[in-house]
Amino acid sequence: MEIRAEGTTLFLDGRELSELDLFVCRFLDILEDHSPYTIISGYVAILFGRTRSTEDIDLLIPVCSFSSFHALHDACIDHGFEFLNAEDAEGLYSLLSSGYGIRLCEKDTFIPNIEMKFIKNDSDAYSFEKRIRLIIDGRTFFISPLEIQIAYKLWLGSQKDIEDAIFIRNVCRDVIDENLLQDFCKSFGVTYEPA
Amino acid sequence: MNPPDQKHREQIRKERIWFVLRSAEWVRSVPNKVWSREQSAFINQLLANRHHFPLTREEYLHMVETAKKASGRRSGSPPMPEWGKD
Repeated sequence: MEIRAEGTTLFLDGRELSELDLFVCRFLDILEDHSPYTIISGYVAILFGRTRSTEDIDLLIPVCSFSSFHALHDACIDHGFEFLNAEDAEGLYSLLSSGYGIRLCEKDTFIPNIEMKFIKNDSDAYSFEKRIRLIIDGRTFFISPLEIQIAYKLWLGSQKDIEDAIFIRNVCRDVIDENLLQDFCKSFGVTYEPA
Repeated sequence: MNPPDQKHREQIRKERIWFVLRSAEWVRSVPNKVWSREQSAFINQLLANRHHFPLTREEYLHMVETAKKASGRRSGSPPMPEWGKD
């Protein structure tokens, strides 16, 4: 793997994009006109080469007004996306505002899908404010900083989360700030033990 | 069928982590073009049959929520380091 770092930007040159990546790109093309975002959780591990698929891509956006959300909602519909939740724009906004995720998929197939949430706590806010720009052959993906992502996944504690954390920690070790990772692990009450 | 006992579960866990570590080392050892081609083929194959998924949307959402609860995953937010609290 060749990861190139320039400031807070990472480059993965020559990485082939899968159907899953292209699905995400199609959605980000719409989202970027309406809101900034940060990608979190399992898809971050997949971007760096974890050999697993995922049905959902988790991302966070800042809290926005209903009119801004309505514009995003309409743009998604216009571009062939639909919402899995059986709600109209108002109902979806209400779900987001209550801390729930809403799911979007492309018409006629709900796998894969995007689970989008509003930023609602300190760790979400950090993941957004310190987001990293990851560039893959000219495409930009904003992702959560790897250090908090690893510690957070260890804290979540399911087998899949722990495996993702171990994978990211090992594959990206050249660009990870070890002291920062340890700060997060200590604060979250988790220890990094690969085996 | 009986679920695997604790010892067996632990063995499976260790084997999975061993595989993840091996996989990470392999990804590090080859050019991006190589690992991503393999990953892409794997993911594309999994997605190829997505139109035949046998659940309705409601059933799918229910399945996802049930799986989340059964995963043993924590929910909420962990305490941030002092410098991360705004």
